[in-house]
Amino acid sequence: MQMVNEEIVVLDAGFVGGPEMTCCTISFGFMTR
Amino acid sequence: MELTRYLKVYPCIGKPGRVLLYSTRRCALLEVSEALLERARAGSLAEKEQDTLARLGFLTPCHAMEREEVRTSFDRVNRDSRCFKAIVTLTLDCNLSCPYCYEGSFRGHYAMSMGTADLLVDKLTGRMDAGLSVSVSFYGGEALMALPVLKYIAGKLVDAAREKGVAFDFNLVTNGTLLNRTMVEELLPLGLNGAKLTLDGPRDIHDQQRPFVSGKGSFDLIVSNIKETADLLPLQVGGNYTRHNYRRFPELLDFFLAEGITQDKLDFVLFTPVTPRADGSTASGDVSAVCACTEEPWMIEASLFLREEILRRGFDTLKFKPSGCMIEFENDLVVGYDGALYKCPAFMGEKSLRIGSLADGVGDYSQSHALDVWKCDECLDCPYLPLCFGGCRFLRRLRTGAIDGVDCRRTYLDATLEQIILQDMTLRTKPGS
Repeated sequence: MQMVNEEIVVLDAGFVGGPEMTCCTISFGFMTR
Repeated sequence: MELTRYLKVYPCIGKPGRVLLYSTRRCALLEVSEALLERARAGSLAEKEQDTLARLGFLTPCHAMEREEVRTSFDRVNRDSRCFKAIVTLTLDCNLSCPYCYEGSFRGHYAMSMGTADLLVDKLTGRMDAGLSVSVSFYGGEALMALPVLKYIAGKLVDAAREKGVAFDFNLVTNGTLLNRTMVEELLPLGLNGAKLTLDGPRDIHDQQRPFVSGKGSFDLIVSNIKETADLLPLQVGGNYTRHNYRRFPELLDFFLAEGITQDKLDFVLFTPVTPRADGSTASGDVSAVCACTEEPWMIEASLFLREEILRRGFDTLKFKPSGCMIEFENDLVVGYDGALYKCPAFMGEKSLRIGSLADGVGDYSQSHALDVWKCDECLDCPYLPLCFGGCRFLRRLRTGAIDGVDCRRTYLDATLEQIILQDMTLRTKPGS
């Protein structure tokens, strides 16, 4: 967490760069095996 | 500068006058005052505020430009990619007989021949010659039932990578029954860097859902293997739940802790709903117990409940990232045991979705896989687009019989994203993968 000033607190700076391949990585959307 | 259209605004609980801003394009999260949000909407931010919001992806010079950047996201990713990733199906044979297995309609004693393995090595060393690193996920059936061909392929690739000065590694998608300490020690020098294995909740549920071919339960052996190998390589534990049993899955986490399989020993834990098999059938015939659609209320409740229980116990689980389906990535391929090529493991066994072969190369799959299906006004204007990019083609096909549209995640994300963000804020102890 980074407090820029009283008005803005950065809780998560997130990810830089393009989308990544996820396939099964988001809790659904993959076949069961 | 304008506020990004890929933005969600949520109340900041317990802090009147404050709001949470979430950029779906970057998965960044800010807490700001409502007054600042109003100034951002009006384009009247102070210079420092504007710099901060722009740096974190909350502002864009122009909506039309931002929309075009998102529309062409994968063009840039593919242009800049320096790693070739292959999911390699070594065999369709398995020592388990899970009733729900999506491969059920095409499983059998089929394994990759040495001739096909040589073609695969040629293909992957060709990518290394082009300066790309190579990463392989060995897959099945049960990949470790094809150990000689696995070691042959990995041995050739680890030597080639050393010679060409690029990186090579591999991971295993395995049921965990054969992944003992001796096996891992044997595979580490060949590039093994992780394994994903499956435990379907507590012992009684797991042994019912994932028995050996003999009918005997597999739970105890897999747990024993986790204990033997967790100090040697990162382990990811998955588990498949139904509408009827998901509430009992946290028992597995408590069992782990009681058995000394502590949070530091697992890379992450992720429970997912059982989907119908590739041919649309289900093991029990009860379609309401499984999931082919993310809008089902029970699935929304289950996914939030289990995510919270995982994080509450201090285990890690996956965090949202800007993400797309494998079909968007030119350097990602699935290789069948027979050398056939696909763009998703779920498409194996479906001739119309085969995109080529190791011998003949990759054909044009833009139409068959509806590559541009999300490049429409409705999706490009959707704040959730960077989290889904059209969703899962497999699920769409399960529902309609064809890849004839997007697998829209709007309902699911409307119902879950705020809770997921709050879970990450309050419960997460390790950075997400």
